[in-house]
Amino acid sequence: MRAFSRACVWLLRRAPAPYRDRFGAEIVSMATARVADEHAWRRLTRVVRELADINATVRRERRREAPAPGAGRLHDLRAALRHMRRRPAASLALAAVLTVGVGASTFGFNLLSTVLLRPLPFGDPDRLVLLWSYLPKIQFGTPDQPIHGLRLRELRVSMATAAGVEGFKADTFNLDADGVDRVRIDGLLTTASLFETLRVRPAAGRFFTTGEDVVGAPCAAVLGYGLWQRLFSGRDAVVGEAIRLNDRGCTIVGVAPRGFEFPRGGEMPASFQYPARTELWVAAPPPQSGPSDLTVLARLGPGASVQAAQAELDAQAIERDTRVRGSRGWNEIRVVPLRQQVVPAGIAATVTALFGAVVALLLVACGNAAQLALVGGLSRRHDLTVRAALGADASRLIRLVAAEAGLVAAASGLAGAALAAIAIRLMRTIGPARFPRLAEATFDARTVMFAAAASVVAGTVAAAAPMWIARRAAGHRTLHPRERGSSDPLRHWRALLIAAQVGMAVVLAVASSLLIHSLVQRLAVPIGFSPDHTLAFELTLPSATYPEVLRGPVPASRPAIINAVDALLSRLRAIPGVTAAAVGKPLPMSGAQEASVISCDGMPPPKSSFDIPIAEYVVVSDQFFRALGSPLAAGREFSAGDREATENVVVVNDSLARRCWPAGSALGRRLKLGGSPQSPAPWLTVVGLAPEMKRFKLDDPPGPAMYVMYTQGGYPTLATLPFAVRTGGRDPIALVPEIRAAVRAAGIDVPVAAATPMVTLVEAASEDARFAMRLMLGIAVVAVGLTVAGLYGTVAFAVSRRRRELGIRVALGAAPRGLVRLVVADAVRPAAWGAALGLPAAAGLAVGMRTLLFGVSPADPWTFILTPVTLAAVVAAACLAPAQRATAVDPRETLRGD
Amino acid sequence: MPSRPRPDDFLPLTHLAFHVLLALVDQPLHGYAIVRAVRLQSAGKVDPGTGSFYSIIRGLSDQALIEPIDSPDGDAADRRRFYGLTALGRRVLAAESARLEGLVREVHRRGVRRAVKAGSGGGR
Repeated sequence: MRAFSRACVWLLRRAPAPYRDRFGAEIVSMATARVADEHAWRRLTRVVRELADINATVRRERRREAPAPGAGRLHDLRAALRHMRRRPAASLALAAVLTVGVGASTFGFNLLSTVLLRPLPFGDPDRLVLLWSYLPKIQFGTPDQPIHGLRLRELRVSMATAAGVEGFKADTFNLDADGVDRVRIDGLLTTASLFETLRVRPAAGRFFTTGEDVVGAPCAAVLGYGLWQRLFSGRDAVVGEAIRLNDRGCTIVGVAPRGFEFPRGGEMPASFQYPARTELWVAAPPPQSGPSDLTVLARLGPGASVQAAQAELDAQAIERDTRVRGSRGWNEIRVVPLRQQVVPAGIAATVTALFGAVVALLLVACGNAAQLALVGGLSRRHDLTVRAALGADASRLIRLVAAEAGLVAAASGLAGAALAAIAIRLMRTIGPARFPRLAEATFDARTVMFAAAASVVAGTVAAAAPMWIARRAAGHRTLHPRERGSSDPLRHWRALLIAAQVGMAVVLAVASSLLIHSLVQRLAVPIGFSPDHTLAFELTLPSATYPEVLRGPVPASRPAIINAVDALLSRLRAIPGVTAAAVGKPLPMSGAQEASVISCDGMPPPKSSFDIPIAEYVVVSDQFFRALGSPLAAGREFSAGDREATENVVVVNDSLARRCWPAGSALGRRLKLGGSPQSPAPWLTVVGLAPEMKRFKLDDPPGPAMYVMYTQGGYPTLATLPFAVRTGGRDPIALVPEIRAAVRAAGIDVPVAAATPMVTLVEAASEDARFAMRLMLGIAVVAVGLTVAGLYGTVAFAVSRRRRELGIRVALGAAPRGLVRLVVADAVRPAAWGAALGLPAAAGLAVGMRTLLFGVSPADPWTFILTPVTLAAVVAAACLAPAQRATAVDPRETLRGD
Repeated sequence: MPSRPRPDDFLPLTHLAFHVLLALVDQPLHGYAIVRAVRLQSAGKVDPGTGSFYSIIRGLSDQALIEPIDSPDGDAADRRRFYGLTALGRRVLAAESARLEGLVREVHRRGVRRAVKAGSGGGR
């Protein structure tokens, strides 16, 4: 009888799984019963009949179940879903881990793709270059300096390697239009063919024509897309409409395409006053006089290379040195590919490091997922073995496991991509305004492809271990009693996964602590003033109403401006809570700069034109230093009594004092504008010594600066006047309505623009470093969190699997502490290996990140000691909690199971 | 999805399926009991092999004409699975009998009465 039932089982093995699962047992027991019930002499016939019938049935059922293409897979998917529904927590944990990994890496890839990989949004962008006047010897600011209007005119005619040379500079405009409240707009004065040279198409209307940038031509303006939507609700009819810019009539000729904001402040040298986003373009002729203040952009002609252009300009410089008297050494021009300017090396390194970090995070997540899947796979080994014993072949079991992994990976891929899309949106709207190209970030096809690839990789890694287990399960077809022992065939794999995760976590933790450390260092640098409780704002005085804003630096020619500023300052100071109010052009940290050659009394005559000292030139009012919380080191501040008729006075900073008068005090000494004592400018007497104030960025090197009173010294243009208002403790931004009222009361009919707490300006100066630091910190925290959770899970699982062994040990009298050590050592040993391997990798990364670090060495010993130690403590804590459970094993209970 | 299956959709039933449904008319039975009932009601002429029998059971329960139910005696120790007729199964059985009745009536109308018996008497 036994032989008969075995024969039945043997035949049924080949039946389709669902049929076998449903009826296998019933068929065997009923057939056996029928044989047993038969009269002895007919039993044999019955046996043969039943076996033949079962065999025929199995074949019939197999034919029936022969899967239509894809049907088997559908069955696998359904089985996988069933299995996942039975263990929702495990499936969710796996999906969550993979979602984090895929989401973070997709976001990181998008950042990399947006900033580094995508071509600039112009036609044939690799042929665009910027031309800078190259002055490495002037000992002031950066060697790349703007170009003079006359030189631009020359270049437009003479440069053979260029197919277009454009010059532009930032400007601010009070815009009036029908149905629009007067607003101030950040814009650009540019040569007319800028758009043709960039090769962009208008969203509406046209761009400038050649005649529009000549002296005397009527004003023509192009609106930015955002401005068009905001102020003119995107009407097409806006083209041809008349508006007023700084009280001057102007015609809108067209609208720039969506996303076109060239030039963005974050993509140009920080020392130029480009706004974060340019929203208005006005055609203007290159000025024939005044300072060198143009940024020059060129498109290389067909076949011309950057080297060829550089060679041509070098030859021109040599020729000019001899042709133009007194210009020797000032004619060099440097050719910089636009891309290199827009994304400087430091930003490229930051973005690459962040991408590396998210890839490491993806690997940690994969390792973690593999660990989870391994634990899940081991705990269902019995189930798989049962299926195998009933005849499921290896490929079927593997398909089943792969279907599960595929489902989880697909779900996590979708969720991760959604997460990344949200993060990209957030980054574009609330990310740093001056981080290059961030405004161009979109969730594009390339990003979708990366997300898909990342989920495939993650799914494969997560599936590998269970698939291997499934293969092995298929290997032994006989049913063993459910395994409870300490045998853990994948122990080594688990150790490897722990090591890999801890190694990655160490790398990320070291990288982020280096970045945090350097940000702290950056913020600790004295900025020379105290930004708290101070509001900065700007007024743009229209040249049509105040024609003198365009006039040269002779104070007597500008009584209207001086009177307006006087009236406004006294009203600002009358606002309750205001302790000081002043003009300062430029304010520190606001990116504008004007510099001038100077001569100092008693200084030996310069050997060459490069030895003439250059100083930043700042026009301020009385109370300037008080309003900025920047007490003078010696001497006095300006007073309201320093007027045109009184002695000409100046406040200098430490760098200038040391440059001009290295020995002795600067107080009482004299200096004048212009490179020689014979220049026509008046002598200015030093009355105060100011601290070094940071001009654009926290890591600016100190440089000479001179401060003159607005009633005495002039400025090439006073069109835009920055003010600083300090309160005794009131929230400075709350002052804005009262400031508006004061401006109106002073008879100045322009909008209050760019009202910003100084604190924000200071923060903005380090926002790219903050952005990088926050992202890196977030990545490291998630990576460490995943690693710790993984370790916790591994130890907990090991304890539960080793209950029997631990029970025996307890029964044999093992001390609880010994048990804990036994369990913890299993996790800590590979973790230590991982950390040991991670440290050199972290050192390598740190060296790669050198350009991002400030005030901290890439081999900072504290970081490299403290980070692993802290991590080790966290790891130990994560292992100890579940390990404590090992001591709670009751030997009687565990041994009873045998 | 069609709203409600019509009994006619399941016709004609196979010989064995008809017998299984018929065996379950009075009460739910387990597999072996169904086979015995079929043998009885067919006077031993229908005696399916176990495998074929379960293929029929699979087919009928996939079509929801029968359904597996717990042991009707409430005997938990009785592990055998019982099958009962569903409402649909009952209607299908009725429809099939009506169809067969109609066929038999037609045969009678054409005067073929007891032809089988007569044939068997005069054969060979």
